[in-house]
Amino acid sequence: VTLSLGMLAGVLIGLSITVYPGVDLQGAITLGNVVQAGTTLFVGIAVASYLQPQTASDRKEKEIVFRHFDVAIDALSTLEGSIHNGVLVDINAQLKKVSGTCSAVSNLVTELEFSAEVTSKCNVAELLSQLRRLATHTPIDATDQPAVADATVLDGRIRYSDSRAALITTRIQQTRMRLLRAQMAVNKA
Amino acid sequence: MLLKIASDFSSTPGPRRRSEGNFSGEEFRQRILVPKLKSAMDAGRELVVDLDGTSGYGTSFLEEAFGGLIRNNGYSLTELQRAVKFVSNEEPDLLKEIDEYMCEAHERLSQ
Repeated sequence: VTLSLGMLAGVLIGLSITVYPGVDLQGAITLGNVVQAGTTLFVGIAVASYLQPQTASDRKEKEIVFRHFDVAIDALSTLEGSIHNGVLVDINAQLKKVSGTCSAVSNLVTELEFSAEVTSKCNVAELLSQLRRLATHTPIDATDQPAVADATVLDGRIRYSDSRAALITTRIQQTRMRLLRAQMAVNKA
Repeated sequence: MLLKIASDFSSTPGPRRRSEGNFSGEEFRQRILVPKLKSAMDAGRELVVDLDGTSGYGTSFLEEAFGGLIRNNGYSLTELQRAVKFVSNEEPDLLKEIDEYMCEAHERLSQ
């Protein structure tokens, strides 16, 4: 389509010049003008051919990062389901998946040399560590900190008190929001 | 001397105590970790604990297994820091976490 339109525009401009010859080229073109025009054309083509693959490469890199973000956010949703079911092994597995994908995002943005601000936004390790503790910690003994003592395990299933379950839900939402903000930061970069 | 949890114990580590379910941290410590650690120390060798290959660890499993070495089996923090090396390529953050559990267990005993 572009080629056809270009050809059509070329023919129309050619016709208009033939009908209304507004440019008198006689004696006006020097070797300098030709060299200048050639150089301008060359620089234009060179810049375009350099920038096009560069932009395509940047877009491809961002797409890879976005795919990891999507996997991490999906894994967080699955984790919510596992926490609701309470099977400890499943919770551990989902936490590992979330943690692995988030750490892959963090490594990717570092390797792709995003700015320090973006890199820092993509690092959710501290939040995940708190989430792991909230989701899987059970008391060592009766003297263990009361704040984390409100979870019990039986037959490999963990049951949380209402307050603990609410804390876990809040922490998952915070992590999800952080990942979405990080994704926006990568998109803007 | 190498101890790979996924193959020497279980690929699905479970809760803290035996009474709470299968493949607990307590069972791992008593049945696998302490005998391996003892034989490594007797032979004057380092015990390398490989954490990779499992479906994931809960904090209580790790705390009971490694903090429990200090709390229940009488090992000192410095002794363990010298004799045991942890490897986790899949979740490198676990190494810091385990170190924190051992330090916390040491502090609890000191109090």
